[in-house]
Amino acid sequence: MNKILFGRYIPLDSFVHRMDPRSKLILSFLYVIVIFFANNWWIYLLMAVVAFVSILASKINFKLFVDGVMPLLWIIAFTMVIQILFGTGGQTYWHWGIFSITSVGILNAAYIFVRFTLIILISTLLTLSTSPIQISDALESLLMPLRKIHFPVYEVALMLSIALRFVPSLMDETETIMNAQRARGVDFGTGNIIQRLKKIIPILIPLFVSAFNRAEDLATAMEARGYRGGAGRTKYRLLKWETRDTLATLVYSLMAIGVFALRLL
Amino acid sequence: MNEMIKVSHLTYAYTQNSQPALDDVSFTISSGDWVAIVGHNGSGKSTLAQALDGLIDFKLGNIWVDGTKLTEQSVWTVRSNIGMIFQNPDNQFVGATVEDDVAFGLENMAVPHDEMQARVDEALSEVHMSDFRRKQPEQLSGGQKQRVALAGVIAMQPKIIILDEATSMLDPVGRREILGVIRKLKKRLGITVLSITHEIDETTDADKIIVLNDGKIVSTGAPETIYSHSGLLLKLGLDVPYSQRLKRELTQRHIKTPETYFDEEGMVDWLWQSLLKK
Ligand SMILES: Nc1ncnc2c1ncn2[C@@H]1O[C@H](COP(=O)(O)OP(=O)(O)OP(=O)(O)O)[C@@H](O)[C@H]1O
Ligand SMILES: [Mg+2]
Repeated sequence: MNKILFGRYIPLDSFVHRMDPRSKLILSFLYVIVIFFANNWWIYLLMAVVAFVSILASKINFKLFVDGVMPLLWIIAFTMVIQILFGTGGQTYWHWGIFSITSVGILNAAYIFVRFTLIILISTLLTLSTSPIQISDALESLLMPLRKIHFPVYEVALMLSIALRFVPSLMDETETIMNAQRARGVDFGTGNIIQRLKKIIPILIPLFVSAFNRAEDLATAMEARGYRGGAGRTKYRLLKWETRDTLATLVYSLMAIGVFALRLL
Repeated sequence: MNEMIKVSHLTYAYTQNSQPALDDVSFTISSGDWVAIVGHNGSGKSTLAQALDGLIDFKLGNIWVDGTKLTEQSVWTVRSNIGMIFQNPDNQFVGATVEDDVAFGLENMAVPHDEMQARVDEALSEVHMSDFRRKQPEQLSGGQKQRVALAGVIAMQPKIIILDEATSMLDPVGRREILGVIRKLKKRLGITVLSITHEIDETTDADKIIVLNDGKIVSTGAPETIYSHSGLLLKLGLDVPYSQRLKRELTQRHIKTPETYFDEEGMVDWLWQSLLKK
């Protein structure tokens, strides 16, 4: 889990790294939406090219992207199998009860494979090239209009960044507690599901207690440093939209236009 | 010398407890002084520090900080004059990276961006952490995190620094680094330092020591005076510094010892030298 979700940011100096996190967030989103409109191989080719150019522009080792796809391979395979077995239309090669293997089913399975892979690649690119705090900054900035309906944007963004900041600490703590329980003879690896779940409780309780203590300490420390709510603060990290962001937006917009043009083929 | 902190008849009890955590505490601290507050666990040291920073709401007694009386209205002004560093390095690191954390207090004070940048840079170089500015807290040792906390305090340019057992979770090297930086700051900027500790070894920098027991001040005075009442300290579960004890033992054996204070290492050097001279 550690490997999939966190600590993935690879700090490098590249075109993609230097982009405004807001544009990265928006463009990744756009990419994922547009790919659902793909209905022929030319579109997938175009979108694959854009994805690979983006990856190249990030200077991040391609192997890390393969690592990103690997853990999700089972889910992709499962979806493909469903599509192959239940898909209908076109030429039928095999048929048994509700199951059938058809040419359209196989084609759709192939599309799904490419689509999933590309989506994973693009979102991996976002998380590898953007630190969690930048993502939370970008969200704060993009959600700003919600302040009009009294949504506490500053507070939510701060909460998010503190939560992200404490994830590794809490993981360390879990490890420590588990080791402490192991030293008392608890074996987390054996027993049936219910027995194993029962063994989780002596981990959770100390974990909660310590999380609350931390939260209290942190609140005191924040107050001592003059924190009194989000409004009226200045920001140390400024987001700046630059030429490279406009350029990337242009490329992705052209891709979107291209996709809709190719749909007519 | 004007009064930087004045506490008069401060009494405070946590709602759950019948025993007050602070019981009729009065003292003054002159501007530019280093004052150590010692006492065993639960003697009320942290409660006192939090009261000074307006972090607990006391009803009995008064506190003045730099001439301003601490009230609900003045609490933010008072707080901007006080920089606090707490015991646990992990639980006071708010930012995602070192520089973000140092900037946190400045963001709260709505300091303009350019000035913020300059003050963060300066504070980080003061604690020798400039090379770590983009590091995340998990990549730092406890001592480094405390130095970041100190940089956060320095950036706010307070008149008073309060250390609430800020070095108790550090190894001797980390402890010495933090105290070294604070000593330099105090010398250069005349900052008033209040260090809370139950390591009597840490009080040797102090101009004055306040001994707290069960919420009451039991003794106040210069370190030498306090150390000479070793009976009292022992009774309170504290102990005089090792080097002080060594000196006393030597004096009892009619060996002349240096007048100025030496830490353990200093005493070792002095012993080597006096042996060589013989
Ligand atoms: N949040 C709290 N709620 C209730 N009682 C508290 C709270 N914090 C402290 N106390 C009590 O108040 C008294 C003084 O505690 P305080 O934390 O000020 O002591 P301390 O001298 O800082 O101790 P230590 O050396 O352990 O840090 C203790 O008896 C303690 O149990
Ligand atoms: Mg304490």
